[in-house]
Amino acid sequence: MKNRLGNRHHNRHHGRRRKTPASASGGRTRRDYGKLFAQTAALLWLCYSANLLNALPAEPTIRVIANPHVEIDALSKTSLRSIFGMRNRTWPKGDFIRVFVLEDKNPTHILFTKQILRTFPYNLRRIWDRRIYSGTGQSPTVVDSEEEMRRQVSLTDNAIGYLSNKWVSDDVKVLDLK
Amino acid sequence: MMNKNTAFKSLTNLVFLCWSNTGLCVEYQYDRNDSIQIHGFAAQSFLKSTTNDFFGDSEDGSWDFRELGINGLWRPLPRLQLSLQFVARKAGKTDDGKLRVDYIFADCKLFNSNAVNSGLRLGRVTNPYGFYNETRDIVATRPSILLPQSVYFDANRNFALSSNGVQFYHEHSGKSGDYLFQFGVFEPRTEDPDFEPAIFLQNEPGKLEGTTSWMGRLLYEYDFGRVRLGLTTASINVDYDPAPGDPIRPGAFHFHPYIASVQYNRERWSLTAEYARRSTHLDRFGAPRDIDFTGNSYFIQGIYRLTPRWEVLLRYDSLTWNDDDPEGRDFEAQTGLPNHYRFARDWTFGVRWDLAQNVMVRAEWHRVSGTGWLSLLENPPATETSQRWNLLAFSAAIKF
Repeated sequence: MKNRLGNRHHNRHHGRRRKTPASASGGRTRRDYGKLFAQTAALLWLCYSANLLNALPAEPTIRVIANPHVEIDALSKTSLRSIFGMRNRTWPKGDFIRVFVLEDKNPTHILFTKQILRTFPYNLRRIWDRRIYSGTGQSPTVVDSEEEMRRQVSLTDNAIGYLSNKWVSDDVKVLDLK
Repeated sequence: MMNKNTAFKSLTNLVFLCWSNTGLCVEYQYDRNDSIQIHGFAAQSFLKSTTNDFFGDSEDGSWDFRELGINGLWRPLPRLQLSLQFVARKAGKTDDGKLRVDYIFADCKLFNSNAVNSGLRLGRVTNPYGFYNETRDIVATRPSILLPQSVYFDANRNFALSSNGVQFYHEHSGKSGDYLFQFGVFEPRTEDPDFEPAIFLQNEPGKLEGTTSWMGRLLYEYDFGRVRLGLTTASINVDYDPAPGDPIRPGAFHFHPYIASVQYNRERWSLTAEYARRSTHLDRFGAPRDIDFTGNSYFIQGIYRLTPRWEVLLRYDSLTWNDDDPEGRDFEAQTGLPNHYRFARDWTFGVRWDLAQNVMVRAEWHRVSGTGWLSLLENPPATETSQRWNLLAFSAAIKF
């Protein structure tokens, strides 16, 4: 969001510079920066008052989703970490949990690990690798898009995953975070 | 959860997988029902040293360090897991590159819930030793191409990795953090070619055989592994079975390590330190073979992630075999071997580049003083080794 605004300003500045050769040769003066700041502030205020900020691509909200038949509606952060860390493998009634994740570099995955699990993709990967290669556990199933995530979680019994808000639909159950 | 028929099919598929190259497709299919998973890894390294040989003829440049492995985990019942890993590892004269079983065990879950996960593992199980031992062969889970040798001697890697016996584990997670306790009773593996030289300083006609030993580790993790603390202790016992006409008596080798491990992880950097105290005791052989000494090892390691794909490492690793003879002067006088075989101080600088999620290349440089973790087997005669040496290593690795 900030980048976008910043870029826009940059372009505006260049446009103005072309018209005034004096500033092109001498670089930005303190007054130029003052103007730039005032313009930025005005634009921000405009956007905000027009509620345009919401239309800009801000960090999307991440939702934890499950198959509609999953018996629970809410999860605590501790149990979420237990499930995505592949330590707790069963739902309360004993059914085996099927965990779905996106690739490590996927922006939604990065947001999920940071916002929801409060950790980092490299740490999660290390937790899984330690289990897989010591023979003591399994790794989650990796899907390559949010569309595929929604499809798999909606079709797989006992599945859990996550989506950015805009991909959420009635095919999956959104779990509340306690 | 799974009927006998599909269970049998899964098993035949697992066997089929080991013989075919279409592993990934089949894994994908079975991944869907989560009852079977296949993973693997492969790495080829190149080593070049100024003097002294490490993993092959590294003085001239060695390609003799390769790691290849495939593992499968099958869950025929919700409370039963079967794990198997085959590995072929070539590491100069210290490992022959032949296919063997790294681990094969049944994991019977006693309890699994949100907060608790506990059970018993039976068979050949990985040893819970420090932070890195259980996944020491997978380049991606190691901090560097070579693990800090003072704590993770690669010359005796099979002995360290896994043993045959039974292991109890108990994981507990709560608001204060996660606790993992493991305790195993087992017989150590003694097939490493360098194991006898490591004990007797040369190969002997008889055979070493593992006897009842135990190992325990407690790990504590705060905030999903932001802070990790570990304590390991063990009593490892090996008997010597003399050959006919052998001048050596049937004695025993005892090894008692204590390891304290600390790690702190942030988004960009990780700090790790481990300190080990090791007591070694040779018993019932008679003089002059009966010895008893205690040494210490430690390393301090920093990793900085420049970008998600690039990271750099700096580490200082120190090994002292005998605290009463840190410079090895007495050792030299008694054995005629160079004093620098009793210590090693290693500065390591490394770079890791992840080309893709499962592909990485690495480079690292070691500046070493001492030959304390050098294989005697690879450096005959020991008197011709040098105390100060440098080692450059490159590695390319994939995993799935």
